[in-house]
Amino acid sequence: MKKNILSYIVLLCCISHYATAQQNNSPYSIIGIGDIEKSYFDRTTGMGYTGIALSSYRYMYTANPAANAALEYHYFNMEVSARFKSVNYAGKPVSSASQTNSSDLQFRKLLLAVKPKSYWATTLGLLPFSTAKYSMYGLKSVQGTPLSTPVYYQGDGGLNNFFLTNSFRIDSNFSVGVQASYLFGHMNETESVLGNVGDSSLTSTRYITISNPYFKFGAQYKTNRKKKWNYAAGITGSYQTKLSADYSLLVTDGNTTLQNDNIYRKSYFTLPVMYGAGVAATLNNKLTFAADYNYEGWSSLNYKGISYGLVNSSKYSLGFEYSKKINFRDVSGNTVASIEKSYFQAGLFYKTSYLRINGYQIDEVGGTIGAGLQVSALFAVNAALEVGRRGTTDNGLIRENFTQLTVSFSYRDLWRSKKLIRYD
Amino acid sequence: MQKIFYLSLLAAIIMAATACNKTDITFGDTYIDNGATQIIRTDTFGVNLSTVYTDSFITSSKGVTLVGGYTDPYFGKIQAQTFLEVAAPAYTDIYQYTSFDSISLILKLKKGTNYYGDSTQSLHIDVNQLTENILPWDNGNYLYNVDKFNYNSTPLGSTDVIVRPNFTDTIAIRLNDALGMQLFGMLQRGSDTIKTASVFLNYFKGLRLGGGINNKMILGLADSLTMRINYKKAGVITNNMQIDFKLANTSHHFTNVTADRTGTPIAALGSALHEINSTLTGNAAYTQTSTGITAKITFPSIRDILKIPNYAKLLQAVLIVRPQTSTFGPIYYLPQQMRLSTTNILNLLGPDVFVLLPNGTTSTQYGNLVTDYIYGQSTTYTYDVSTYIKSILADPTINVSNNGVLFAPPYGAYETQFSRVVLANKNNGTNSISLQITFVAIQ
Repeated sequence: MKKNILSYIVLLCCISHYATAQQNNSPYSIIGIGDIEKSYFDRTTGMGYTGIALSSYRYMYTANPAANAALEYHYFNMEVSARFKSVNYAGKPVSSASQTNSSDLQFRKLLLAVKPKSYWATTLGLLPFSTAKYSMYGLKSVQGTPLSTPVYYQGDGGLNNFFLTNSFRIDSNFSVGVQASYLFGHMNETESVLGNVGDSSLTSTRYITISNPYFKFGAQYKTNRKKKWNYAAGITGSYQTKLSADYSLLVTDGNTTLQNDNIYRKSYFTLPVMYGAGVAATLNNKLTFAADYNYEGWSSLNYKGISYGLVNSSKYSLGFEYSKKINFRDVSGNTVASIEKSYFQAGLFYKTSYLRINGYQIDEVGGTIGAGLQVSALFAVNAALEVGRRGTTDNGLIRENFTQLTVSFSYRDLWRSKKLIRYD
Repeated sequence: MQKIFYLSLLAAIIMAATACNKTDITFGDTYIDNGATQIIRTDTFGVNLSTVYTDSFITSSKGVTLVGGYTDPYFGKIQAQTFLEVAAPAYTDIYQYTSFDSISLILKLKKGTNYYGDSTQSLHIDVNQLTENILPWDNGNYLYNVDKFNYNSTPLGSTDVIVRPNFTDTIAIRLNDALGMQLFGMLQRGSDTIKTASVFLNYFKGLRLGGGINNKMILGLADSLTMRINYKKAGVITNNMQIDFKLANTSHHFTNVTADRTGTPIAALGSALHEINSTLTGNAAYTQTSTGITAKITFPSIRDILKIPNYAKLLQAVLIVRPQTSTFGPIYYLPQQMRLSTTNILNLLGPDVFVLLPNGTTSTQYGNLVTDYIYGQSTTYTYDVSTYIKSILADPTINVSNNGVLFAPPYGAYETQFSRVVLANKNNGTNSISLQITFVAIQ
């Protein structure tokens, strides 16, 4: 086991070394707060991100703050995830015929949960909330004319979600939870107005620091596990939240600094009302079918640009899971305990994103497959492969065909093990 | 189970090692208005126009024989005459049993744009014999547009010719037989005057080609003109022979141009007044460099751009020169090429305003004339003056009232072409010059 822990640490180091910065060019992330992350990098990743109604004694579900109330008492859990993503770009704006794909690997999640009381679990975590990364040539319109001038845009950054979730089991069927987050991050937006031949570029870099507390609420209901069919339902919601945004600006012309303003503007970026609902049905404690709906009400916030606007976003997802369990029976053949050894998943999702560009709402559709394995009583590995596409090649837009592989490692052990001894 | 764990570990490391690719994306369309800048175009910066008078300029050795005259509603009554020397042919004793027939001057038309004015009218050309030698002022090397030499007012020959510029290629003018017989006699006798060039030049000082006062056009001829004697040589069959006296010294071949500006908007301009603002000349500036008139363009308020709040950088400055409508047409056509030459208070031609090419070299701009004969308004010369305007903005010591650009044709055409431009200033309703400035402002 010690060897395993050692390997685990080595792996972490490797991943974090390679995954310091996002490489994938995501042209759409120039707008708003970037691409809003749809994944929680948990077990739902293989099920088309379906999991508002799901919970587990062994795995942490993050979609619903109430889910972790189902974790096993006395244990503390830890999970880290990394994602490899490869994107292929298509559409008129993609200029290079030879280089149309990009890929990167990122360390995306760290989660710790403990369940100190049988009715209370608390989870501390760090997840990406949104990411922005783009570099592209574009045209900037010359005001009052039909003309434009060439510019180069570069940007990176994003919002991180550092949160503490408290989940409470009200009774054996019903649990509630609240996720108290601190959203923080920065966006680095650089625009270079390209000069004429032999002329320097005018580069303006806007550095936006965003931070604010943010709350998300959730509740889950599930039927008694002993029946043939078990049902579960969950809801989540968060209210409209203003994120404070501080802008600083650096303008340079070639090597000459023209303007350097620290915090020249204080403003807000508002997150809209978001809610989600999910249902799940489990047959014989083995087969799970789940469906989710998520909604984000961006339209009412009136974020608009020349040819884009933020609009209401919805996500529909369906997931299926087969769980292979080892049942422990007593002498008379009755199952007294059942331990999951592995599972296999598949899922589908369709999302209309919060971006409407050139009259087209950028959408995303994809399918996932996943598998998980309990390596030992303490370690588990799960992996999910996703294939999907985002956007369109119509209206001068870009279609991204992406493939991503998410790998999570989870570890758990007894909490305050002086008092308790694990037998495995 | 352990194996699977290590396998996944290996997979993760391979993924990490193959990471990091990037794709360049170019949005041809503007959906992005992100960024802290605004690009603004304005043409509100004043452009000042004036007309500059040049006393004299070199017209010798230009390879063009200009002759004729016309009356221009904006530039006055313009007359062009050319002075030149011819040399005797190399002498050989071949004139036994010959008799004189005739003498004429053979003129070849200059190819290309070889006339200005109304080519449907006949052109009167007089050929006169000079009574004094062509000698540059102060024994210098050059002859100027204002130079002229005395000639016998009785022409050696004259012609009235309808020139069809695209078809006519030679004009022959029959000259006085007495001169012909005299010259031919010298050839027959093997006279010293014929054999020695300097003696011949003192005897036959040269020719003046000029027009009558009623001409409607100026014609451009080549400098390869020839004075030809036709003679007959007796024998079994009588042969028609010829001997040519050719233009010899091109540095003594020059054009004298005069302009009577009485009644024109620029009548006041001359040796006593070298520059006049367009507000005093019918809200227009004038360019006809071959008569010593050049439009000057200055940008007196250009430094105000630096006072615009949030101004960050000049991206581009384009000068759009619009000839005043109804001042040009098929007869008074516009010059194909015009350049901008930097100048200062002395109004001398400086380096041309250039544009930097992608390969790093510089190139003089000639305006890319677009002609709109129907409405006139879309007729423009266009120049990228970014480099010039930036140099003014960068150096606060430059006096923007005096430093500017001269609107002139390239050398060659500068001295020999009569095509001219009238530029309207901003008070002139028709079609005024404008400076389009595109700059970046910080929002």
